[in-house]
Amino acid sequence: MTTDTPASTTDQPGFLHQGCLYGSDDEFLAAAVPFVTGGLAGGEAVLAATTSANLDLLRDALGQRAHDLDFAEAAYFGRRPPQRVAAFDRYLKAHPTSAGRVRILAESAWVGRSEPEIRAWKQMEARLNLIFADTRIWMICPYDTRILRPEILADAGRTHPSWVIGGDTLPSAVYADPAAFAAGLDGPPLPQPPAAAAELTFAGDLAGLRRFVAGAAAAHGLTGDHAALFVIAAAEAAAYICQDAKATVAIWDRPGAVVCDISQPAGGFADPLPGWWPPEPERPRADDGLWLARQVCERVETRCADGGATIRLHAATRHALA
Amino acid sequence: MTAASPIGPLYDDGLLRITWLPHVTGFRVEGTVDVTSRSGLDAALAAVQQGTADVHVDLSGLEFIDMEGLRLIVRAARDFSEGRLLFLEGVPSYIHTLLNAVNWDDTPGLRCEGMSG
Repeated sequence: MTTDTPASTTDQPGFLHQGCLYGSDDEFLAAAVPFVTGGLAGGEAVLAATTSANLDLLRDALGQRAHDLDFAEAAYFGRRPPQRVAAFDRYLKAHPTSAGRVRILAESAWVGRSEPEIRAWKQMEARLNLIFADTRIWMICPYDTRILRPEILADAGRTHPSWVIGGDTLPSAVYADPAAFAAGLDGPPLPQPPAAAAELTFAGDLAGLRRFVAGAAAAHGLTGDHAALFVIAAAEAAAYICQDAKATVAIWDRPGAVVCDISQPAGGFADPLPGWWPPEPERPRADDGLWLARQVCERVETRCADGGATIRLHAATRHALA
Repeated sequence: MTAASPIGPLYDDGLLRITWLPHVTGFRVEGTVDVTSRSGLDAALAAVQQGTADVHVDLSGLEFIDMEGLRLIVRAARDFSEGRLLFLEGVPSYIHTLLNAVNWDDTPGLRCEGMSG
């Protein structure tokens, strides 16, 4: 066991990603308050993204000091993992001159999520260790032991290199290789597109691909901006997966969504985290377009199987807007 | 630019058409920016890179743009000299969404009509 004070922990370079189990308001505050006040005292940018109940606790505990804290309600700080990663990246880049670190208290909303979504959020927790490895972010992720399933708490140990307990830091004994852990949670193989799916063989004719996707998306009820963004996502996915080879594009619908598969019989993904790296204007990456697709689609799945690769895009169709 | 010396389009390949704006420094982009037409946008941005006036780019006729097309616009704005601005005008709402999705909407030198900052 090592015992680091917050001050000495900030001296370590690179991403600091720590889990924190709490079972009461007092336990939450015992971890959160020193983290927040330590950052504010040093002139660092500090964001608390947690439940509205915990935000109230923090506000009350901090008093006047709460005026310097940035607040976000966890459920709305990135509605899906790709948007959560983008939100972290946005906060980091909004504070280029923050002295020392950028501190983020980052609680995820786990309750009420489907199994695939829970897997996706666990995968994101693992991927954060790679995506933000070279940044100044110090992130503590609180987990409420009163309401979360034991398996979610156990996997927090696999996705966070260390735990914060009170003012102490303990290495996680079960921390797992992030890319391997995330890959292991991909779930069952993607089901084949249904026989009724519209199909196109894509061999580089981007205009033809856009017409095909736009037409099929419209036939399934996708209109306006949603359709324009879906066409862009499909075009970027096709450009990424195909390079010089042919690909099969299939489009069908399921209740509430239109789905587009782009698959290539030979080849995989050069990157273990395709489309998860925040794009930089000056440093183009081959998978930047897939980042765009992940941001604008309801869900994007990437799989390698039998020597080939598939990107599956989902766009919501019949979703009511508040 | 006067009626006596008509200036043709900056670029026109049937998919993408770029024309000078009449009264300000800048141009109008219509159609599709993808790998086949991107050089046209690149050339138009290069043509205004050396001036001193702010640049206006009318995107109201833009039907499609890919990631690398967005990058060209954002990099052009970043490369402007201090204090010079690139105004995106008539920006379709899906372009707003894209710029937000890549976190490039607050690029120094870039002003996007209808967006804060």
